[in-house]
Amino acid sequence: MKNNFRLVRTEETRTSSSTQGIRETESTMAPEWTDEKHSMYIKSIEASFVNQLYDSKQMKTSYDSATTSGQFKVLRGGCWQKINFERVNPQMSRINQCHDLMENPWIQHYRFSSKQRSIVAPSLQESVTTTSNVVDLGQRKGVPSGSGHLHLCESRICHKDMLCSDTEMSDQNFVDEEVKGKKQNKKSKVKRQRSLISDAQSNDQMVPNRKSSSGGDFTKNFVSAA
Amino acid sequence: MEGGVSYARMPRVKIRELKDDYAKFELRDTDASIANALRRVMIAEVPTVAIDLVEIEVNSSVLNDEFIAHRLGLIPLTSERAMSMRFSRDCDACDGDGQCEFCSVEFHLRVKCMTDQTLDVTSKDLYSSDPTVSPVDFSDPSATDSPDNNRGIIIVKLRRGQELKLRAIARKGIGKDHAKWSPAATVTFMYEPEIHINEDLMETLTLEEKREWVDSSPTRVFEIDPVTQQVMVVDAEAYTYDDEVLKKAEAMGKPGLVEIIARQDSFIFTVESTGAVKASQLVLNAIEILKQKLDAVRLSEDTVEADDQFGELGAHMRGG
Repeated sequence: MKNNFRLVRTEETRTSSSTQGIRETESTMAPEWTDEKHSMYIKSIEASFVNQLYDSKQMKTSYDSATTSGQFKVLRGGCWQKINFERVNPQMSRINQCHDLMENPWIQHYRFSSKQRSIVAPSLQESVTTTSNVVDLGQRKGVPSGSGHLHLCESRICHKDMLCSDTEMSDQNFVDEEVKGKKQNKKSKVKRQRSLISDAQSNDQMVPNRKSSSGGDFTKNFVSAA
Repeated sequence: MEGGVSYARMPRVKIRELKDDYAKFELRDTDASIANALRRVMIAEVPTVAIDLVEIEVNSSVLNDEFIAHRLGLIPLTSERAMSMRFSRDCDACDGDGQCEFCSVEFHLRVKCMTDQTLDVTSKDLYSSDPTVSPVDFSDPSATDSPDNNRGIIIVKLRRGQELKLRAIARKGIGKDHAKWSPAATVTFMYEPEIHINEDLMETLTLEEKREWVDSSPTRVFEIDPVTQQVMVVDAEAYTYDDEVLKKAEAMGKPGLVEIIARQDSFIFTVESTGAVKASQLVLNAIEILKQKLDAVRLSEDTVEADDQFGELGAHMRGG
């Protein structure tokens, strides 16, 4: 079949994002795919989706009073953030569009048509251009205890989740040896500060082996069945 | 495919349908790599909460403990809070035990049948320690009078005297580890088809031949206009890329009758949620996960740049 769906692997996206372009000699004719453009690319998908979501929820407001009009809950930098969107009048949206065209010189096939006008919300536009704000929000995340060290640990845990999601999990049944190995890894993690990659490799997901009063086999059965 | 050209455009999204558990939207001006990455992240990498550990105290039902534990794990739980929860393996509050309030939610189930009528134990009998994480409610709001409404997911049926008492721990996870953590019932996308009918060749067919050709498609893509007797496209997206109409045209001796091209930069997404997360929130969470993965790649490959961006935090994250 000619028009079969082609499954493009996620690795292709990762390869594209890791391409290091020479930013000084970046020309408009042949833009290189860099991390910043990729981030902006994904953020524009989100902006477009949220903008549409706002429009549809605006119509829903009369039916669902519980929904806060124009307010979306988006997780940014590890903590929830409520973004308020306000309607931009047509003149302002036109100005914003021209501004977008000037700000992104690598957009060479973008065509402005009055029929389909994409309105980018001001607050989201700000987050698209500023990357450091996202990191600041992560740093400002609340920690159960007030010490700065735990605060950094919390951010490390958040980022470890990202790396862990890349690790391929095995379907093997858990054995006692692996549980002991995990504990050793935990202790060594505290003593010496490993890099994130090795942490991700050693951080296989395991169900903790609890000693219940009815014996180990009893617990293991439930763990494997759940 | 010209990768550079397609990447240079800013993608656009247009929402067509939106319900709590269903969304349909268009993704344009991008290529299949982004669309498929989004689809895979929605299915397997958006975190939710699901029951992960079951301690059964009493079970005199006909199902054994492992069977009931497995069924409990598959019950979708509302997971709006899952993105900000911790994975049990990374939780430092309970030292990896996976039982504290930061990384888990506790459930209790205590049911005993005292009457002669069979008692259905459902997900509504599960009591959660956290009201934000509870079994998904499948009641239909428009059919409040029906007795079949207001039912949960049946876990087991008990006869008189039979009892079930258990404690369950629900934890955060992703669909890559176990399908029970996937928030999506299914996520699909299709290339938008571009259909061109050769009107000159179409005019050479009789009405019966047109009817025969239109009916050769298993889905209703084409229809004959009753007024003009012309073949028109009624639903291009109903086309399933099965090439049936092309084979029929060749069999009728008209090989170039219709031309169907899959547009390489337009995708129609269909997102169906299990109810753990709203369909719209599922898409937003997936985009956020994509951003995090991109940041992780950048952090590990360009340490100098990472220092400039993250400062002391970057050095700490690398353990240097």
